[in-house]
Amino acid sequence: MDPNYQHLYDALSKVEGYIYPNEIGLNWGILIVLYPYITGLVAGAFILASLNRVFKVKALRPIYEISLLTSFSFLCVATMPLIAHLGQPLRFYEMMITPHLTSAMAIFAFVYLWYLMAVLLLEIWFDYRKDMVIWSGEKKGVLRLIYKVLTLGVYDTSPKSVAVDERLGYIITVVGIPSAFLLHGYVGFIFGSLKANPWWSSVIMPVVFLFSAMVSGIALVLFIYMIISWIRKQKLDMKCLDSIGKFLFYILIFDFVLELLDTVHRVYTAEESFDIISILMTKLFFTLTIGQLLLGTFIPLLVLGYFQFSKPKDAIRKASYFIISILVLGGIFCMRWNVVIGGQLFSKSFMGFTTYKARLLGAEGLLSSIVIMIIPCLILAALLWLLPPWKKKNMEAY
Amino acid sequence: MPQQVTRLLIVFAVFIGMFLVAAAFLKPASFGEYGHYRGNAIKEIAAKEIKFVDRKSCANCHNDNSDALAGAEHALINCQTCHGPGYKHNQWFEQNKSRFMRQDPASGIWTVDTILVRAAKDIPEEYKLLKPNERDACLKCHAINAARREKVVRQIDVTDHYDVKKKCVECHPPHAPNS
Repeated sequence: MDPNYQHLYDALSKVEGYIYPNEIGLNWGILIVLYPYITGLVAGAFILASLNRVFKVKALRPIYEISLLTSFSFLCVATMPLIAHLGQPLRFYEMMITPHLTSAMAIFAFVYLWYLMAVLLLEIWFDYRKDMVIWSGEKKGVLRLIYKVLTLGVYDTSPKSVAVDERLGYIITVVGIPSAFLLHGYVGFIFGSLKANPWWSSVIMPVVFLFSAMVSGIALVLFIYMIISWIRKQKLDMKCLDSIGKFLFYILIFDFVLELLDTVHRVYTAEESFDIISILMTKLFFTLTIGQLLLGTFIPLLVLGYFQFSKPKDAIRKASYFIISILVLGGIFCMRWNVVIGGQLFSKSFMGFTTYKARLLGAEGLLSSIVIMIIPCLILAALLWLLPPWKKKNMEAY
Repeated sequence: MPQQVTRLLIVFAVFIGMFLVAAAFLKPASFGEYGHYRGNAIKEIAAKEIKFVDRKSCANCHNDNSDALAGAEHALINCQTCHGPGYKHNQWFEQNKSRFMRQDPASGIWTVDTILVRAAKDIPEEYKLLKPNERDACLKCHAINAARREKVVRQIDVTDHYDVKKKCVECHPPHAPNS
């Protein structure tokens, strides 16, 4: 067969039923799955930090800085999947210099910038300012210079000055909570407001995204805290772990109930898209039924629920928390996958399906996605080396 | 005001200032001239080489084909869909127009003699149009495709329709396939 038609026949072999020509290939691939996933991790980790700072959950103190630094590391790469996805990646800055005020996508750049500059950076700076002043006196060479630059030349560590840091840090966290809600609610809004797509178009989408963000962020900090303690050969604070587990449990319930509400609403209203969506849900068996529901929701809910009534031995709880953190992280990734990829698998004619297979290489391939997920881990490692929470003056007990 | 706040305000002011300076330099000069895009983009697009012509330009000389097309199943298909962009081809005709003019003896009016035009053999290669008569050309539209509606575009399975070695145009005249 002529090679010109070979690709058409190959493409048609991936299609079922009736589908419009521009729906055969997916426009949004794995990178766009990563975008809400990473942003969710940022918002979730920050909200966990605020539980300690604003809501005075003392048991969470050991992970306060880790949560902030995790949130910051992932925020640094949150736009990378989007930029890599752009046809003209080098023009990304045009979104900022020629802001399009009626485009939800374009305004995300400013929501992002607000969260990065006005919330996370400031909160970390106020939290570490006194320690950076102390370290700039203790260290030598380049490190000393770095700390000096980071202090912005403010060397005052008097109790009065530290109290100002404390107070301003508190105010920023209070502002940060709605900002974190805005950041991730906004990602949900971008999908939820696409009225052409019945799988996305839902008023509840921003809230579902927000709660799933909290779930994934908490699971990530739980995972990172355990890994860091293991690397540092430090004893895990079981009170802290149990407390994270408790919040993970509650928020997972909220998240599950909200998604259930969305599903029940779809089933009861049974709009014209209902038939295709019910078939879609069977097509997403591995990522929806197994990944998101069974591994990512039911098993963690059962185990965490059990821990609320009974406390098995520390070793069992530690191992369980570790496994649960991985399961939840995987589950939320599956959720993002189901939303982004699932929403493009069915035809807007509601009469057919296409398929998606992630490529390995290329800007939008699996490898670049893995790299984008590794970069924040490296940034976090560098930040933990530069700003070790365990060397802070008020943290030596941990 | 506490020292750290003053210092942060300075840093933020510097950052915003740098942003504004960068924005002033990076923002294209003609941005916003007509709307939320680069005004020069329109001029750049307008300056591009023209590629296509309207149907009438084709019908001027190829009136037999345009007559055959009218009312046939392919009536709504533009000539250039199959024959490729026609602007250059038309330019050659415009440049050599004087060769093909003939005066009507009765009325004395000068018109283009299409028979003369189509008999011209010296048209250079780069001004020639496509004359696709291979099976593949037809299959661009008529190969079976779930995304096409059968009642709008007739479709065949390329692997088993009649004799696969024969050209479609041997049985179906392309300008009036249903004739």
